[in-house]
Amino acid sequence: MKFGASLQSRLLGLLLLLLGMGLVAVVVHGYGRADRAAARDVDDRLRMSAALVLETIDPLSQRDSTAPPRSLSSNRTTWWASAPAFEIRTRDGRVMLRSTDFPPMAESSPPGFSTRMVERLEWRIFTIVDPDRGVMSSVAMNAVERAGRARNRFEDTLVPVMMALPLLGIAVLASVWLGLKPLRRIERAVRGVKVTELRRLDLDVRKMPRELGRLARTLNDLLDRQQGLMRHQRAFVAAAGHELRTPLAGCKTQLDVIGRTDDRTVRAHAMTKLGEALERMIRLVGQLMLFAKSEQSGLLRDARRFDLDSLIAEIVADDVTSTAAQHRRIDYVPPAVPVEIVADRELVRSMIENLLENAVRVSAVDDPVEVVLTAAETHVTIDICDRGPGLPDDQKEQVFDSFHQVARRSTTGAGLGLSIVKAIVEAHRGSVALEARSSGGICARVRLPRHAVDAGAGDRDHQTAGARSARRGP
Amino acid sequence: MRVLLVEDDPVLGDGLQVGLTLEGHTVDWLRDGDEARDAPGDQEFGVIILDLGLPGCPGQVLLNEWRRSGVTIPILILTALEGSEACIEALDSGADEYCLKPVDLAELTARLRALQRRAAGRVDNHLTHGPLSLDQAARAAFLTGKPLDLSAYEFSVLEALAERFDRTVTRQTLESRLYGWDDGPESNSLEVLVHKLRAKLGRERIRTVRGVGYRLVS
Repeated sequence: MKFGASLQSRLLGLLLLLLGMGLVAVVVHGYGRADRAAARDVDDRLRMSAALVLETIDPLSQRDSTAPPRSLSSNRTTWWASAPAFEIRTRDGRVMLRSTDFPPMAESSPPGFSTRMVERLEWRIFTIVDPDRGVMSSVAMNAVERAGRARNRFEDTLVPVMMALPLLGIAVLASVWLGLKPLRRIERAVRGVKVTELRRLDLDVRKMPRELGRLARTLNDLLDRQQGLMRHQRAFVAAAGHELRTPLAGCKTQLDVIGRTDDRTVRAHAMTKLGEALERMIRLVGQLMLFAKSEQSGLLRDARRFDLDSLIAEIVADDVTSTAAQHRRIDYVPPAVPVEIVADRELVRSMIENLLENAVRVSAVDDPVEVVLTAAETHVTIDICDRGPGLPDDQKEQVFDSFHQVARRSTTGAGLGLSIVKAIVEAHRGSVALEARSSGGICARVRLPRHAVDAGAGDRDHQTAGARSARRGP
Repeated sequence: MRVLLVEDDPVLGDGLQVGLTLEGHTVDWLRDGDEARDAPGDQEFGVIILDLGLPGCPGQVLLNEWRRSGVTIPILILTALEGSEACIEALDSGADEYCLKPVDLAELTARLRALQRRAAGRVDNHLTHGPLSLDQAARAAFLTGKPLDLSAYEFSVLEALAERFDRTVTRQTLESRLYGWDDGPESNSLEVLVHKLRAKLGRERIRTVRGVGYRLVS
């Protein structure tokens, strides 16, 4: 198992490492402190003891100073391993009294603290001078004692720490485990989500820690949106199927007719009609594919520079909208100067055809559909106007919503067209709106930026732009 | 039967018109709800085929208006809309039949026959009066078991007379059954048809009711 593979092991490792480092620091520091504290203790003890010794030898100072020094055994105290060794000398350095454990030294020690090596043992000595009586007393403790003292102190601080260590370790483990518990809960909840029925996570978000609560909320939002999208798509597929039914019915009926008659004229007529219905369906399927694509990003694939007014003129001339025998009048006066834009030519064509089809559908035979193209510095405006019955205000927005349209049963075929128009317009970062005309009917107004996208494809024509810009009007 | 077809799709409407005509019906085809509103009162239609998704006045609204204003003609709804709701609503507001597109032409005509029978209070497709019997499904007539060779129009006239056996059927009714709005009968075409029928059935079988129409008798 790789270390760091799981959040748990990472956290644990990090915490234990920190704990270990802390422990090492405590030990090292503690040892140093213990040692220094012990040295201080020793010095304090020496200082106190020296004064004490002077007090006690007072009655002894009467004795003959030439007598050999006497040894005194010192009492053992429980706090220290032994009482400090002491020595009393006269001002001129002659030893008067000395305890058995005092290191034998030739000369007297200087007043205050000093350190001496005697017989390979280090001694800490404190000397005070009593000038009135002409004596000086020294007390000494050796390094072994000091080390022992240091060790005691060290052990006193370390032992509890060491005993706490396993407890701390367990506490660390437990807190990491507990801390990660909400994550595990989220994981369980997410695992429980079924792809076919997306629902919000089965958790109480309020009970979760803040950061994970945010995560859970974000996940829930995503699931909601995904669910909405799936519902949308299902409705769309159902609606699309429904849209195809009528032309299919037409095909079937015409085939039935062909099967029932040997009359060549009737058959020929039926086959023509069959062809028309198939064309309708081909076009409808094309719309559906376009619409499906438009739900994704990246609709705009093939943007290049082209002449918008000649495209419109082409569409109007083709008169594609007249699937019925009746040709509708479409009035289009091209502008004086060619209007160039950078956009996806086929998508713009689809867009204009859809708008024209809608306009023609609602117009009576004699009413013309008007197309106007105006060009400005940064954008172009295409107006496609009809003299149909118009649209109530509340539907002006809804009419672009594909699902709304197809769900309404009253109109046929208008369902997808406007949604596709909207998708194309938005892919070009333009805008489209339906406005009522004072003379009745509706104008669909499309604005497209002249440079829909600064795609690499657009740069292809960059060289020709220089040549063409001379032709462009203000 | 004289059929009123209200359907906006050009190919389907055309197919239905041609197909039903081949079946011997006379079809008037309207493409718009507003246009169709006053149509039933005008002529004696045997059945109305109504699409729900119409431009102008929607099919459901037309249905409601017709039934409210006392139009009793059988109505068959032909629609692409699936789902019980639309079906239930249409049937409860007075439609007699509900068909989903696409529908088989043979099936459609069978349903029309069923509606026709029900409207006439009959239970099968055979009209029998004495030695004369008509099979409405096959559009064939028999006299004492022997098949009669009749044209489509002749059968239609005979059918109309046989449906109202021993009762007078007016000229107008007969002509309305035979000819849609787009075909005007020539002034004496009905007489010619009756004459031909008499030749095949026997003169006495069809009696002329002066100034009114004709009557089929035994």
